[in-house]
Amino acid sequence: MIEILQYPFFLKALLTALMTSILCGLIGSYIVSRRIVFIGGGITHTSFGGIGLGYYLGINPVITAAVFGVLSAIGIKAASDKADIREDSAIGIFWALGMALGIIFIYLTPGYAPDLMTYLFGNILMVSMTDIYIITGLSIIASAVFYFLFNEIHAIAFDEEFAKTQGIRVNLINYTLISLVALTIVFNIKVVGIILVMSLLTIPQTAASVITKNFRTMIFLSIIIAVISSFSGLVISYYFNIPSGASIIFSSVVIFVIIKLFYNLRRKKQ
Amino acid sequence: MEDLITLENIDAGYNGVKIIENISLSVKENDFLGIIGPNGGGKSTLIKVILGLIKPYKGKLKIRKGSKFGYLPQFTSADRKFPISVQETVVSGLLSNKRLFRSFAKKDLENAELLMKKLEIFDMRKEPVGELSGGQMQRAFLCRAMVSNPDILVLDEPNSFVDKGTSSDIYKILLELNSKMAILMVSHDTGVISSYVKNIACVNKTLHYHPGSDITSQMLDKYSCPVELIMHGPLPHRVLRTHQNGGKK
Repeated sequence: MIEILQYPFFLKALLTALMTSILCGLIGSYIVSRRIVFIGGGITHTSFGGIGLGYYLGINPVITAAVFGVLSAIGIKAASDKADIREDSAIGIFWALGMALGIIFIYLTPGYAPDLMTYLFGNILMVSMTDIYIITGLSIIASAVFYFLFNEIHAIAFDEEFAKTQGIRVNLINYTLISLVALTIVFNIKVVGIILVMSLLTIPQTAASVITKNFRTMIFLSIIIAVISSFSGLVISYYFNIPSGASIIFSSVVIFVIIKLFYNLRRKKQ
Repeated sequence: MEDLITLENIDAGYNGVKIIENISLSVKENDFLGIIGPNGGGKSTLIKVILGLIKPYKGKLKIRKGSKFGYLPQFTSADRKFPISVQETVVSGLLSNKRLFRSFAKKDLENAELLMKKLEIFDMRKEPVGELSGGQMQRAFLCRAMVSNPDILVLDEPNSFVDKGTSSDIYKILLELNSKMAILMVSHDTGVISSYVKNIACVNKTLHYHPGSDITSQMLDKYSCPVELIMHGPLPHRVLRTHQNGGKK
């Protein structure tokens, strides 16, 4: 156990896992309690188009993915708010369009896309220092937004119409948060991959909501659960030599099941 | 004194379908306006226009500058699993008093506590609002609507889910508040309307304004508000306030 802590790459992975857990704990609690998990799925898959474009243009795919992610988030919201397209239909369209563009761009790019697998399944051990800075910066921004606007965010998430009658800048706050959701998703793609990224934003939060019905406590608990699952996932990944993204998700599901069973048993006894 | 709310020739609805048409109305300070009319007649649409939740297709809406709203929506479609306590729900009604990035004022929070005690939900203030009974939840949302001491209190069916006893307690509180604010209340309960409100607006696509609070069947017929739709059951079952002018039935 001690010897793996001597490797710098492993320490870097732990740091990434910590920052990712804070970020996903905050943003995921918002996603889960507002029931916009499906929007998250749409953003994730649309950003695949951005990854393809990055390859095609020969620039860092994360940057183009971030642009695609934010634009799809705003696009989905605007399509349902203004263009009168049902939200789930808008998500379906963006989802498919992103994947299609991704495939087209990668097909058009000459040669083999070497680390495409990293984006699909993630690899926390491949994360660069720049990625860590970005995720840390994003965690600080998200924490500040939630700290200063907690009451507003909470009220809007619960009852948007009422919040509008109270003169709150509902649209500004909504678009800020959905952009944060998009950036969180995109910058975590390298950590766990497109296919698994939504799990970091939903499993710890759902586990936390079994324990508490308080939004603040839910945020803190999901951060703790995310930290435990990513640290244990990393250790499992090291000792069994399996992909880290998958082992992190696996341990978070195990933790969720344990919590759920424990609380169900306790309720039966009462 | 300028009127609190003025509507001039308003058309409004959803998705291009006109639900209310050519509505003009003015509400003065300390008015208590009962809004009645058949289901689908546009009562909720009207108050959503006033609250600024729907943009009218046509016409002019004027709200006196700086007016604060309190709002109780119709049978709240609130997500019952959403993590929010009774207290947090009530306090969210104070957001119009709060500056961005600041916390709530102490006297506002004290007022919230007082109101929760009055409406008998103080003991369950820590519980998730979604786990309350229908009546308790309705009272929590009423608290949220009143807590900021708004200038205009808009209530969409405040007596739904609430039992008779609590219902009359609520109206007592409303009468008290009415000295400080204008109240607009949508209700099916014509008995309640005629004993508490000062004026009546009957909405059935168009609006007919009746100064005073007596509901007569003649007036309802004449203005195309079908009696059987706004009252629960046939006429003789419902006792309206005695009509001083001899009761025209």
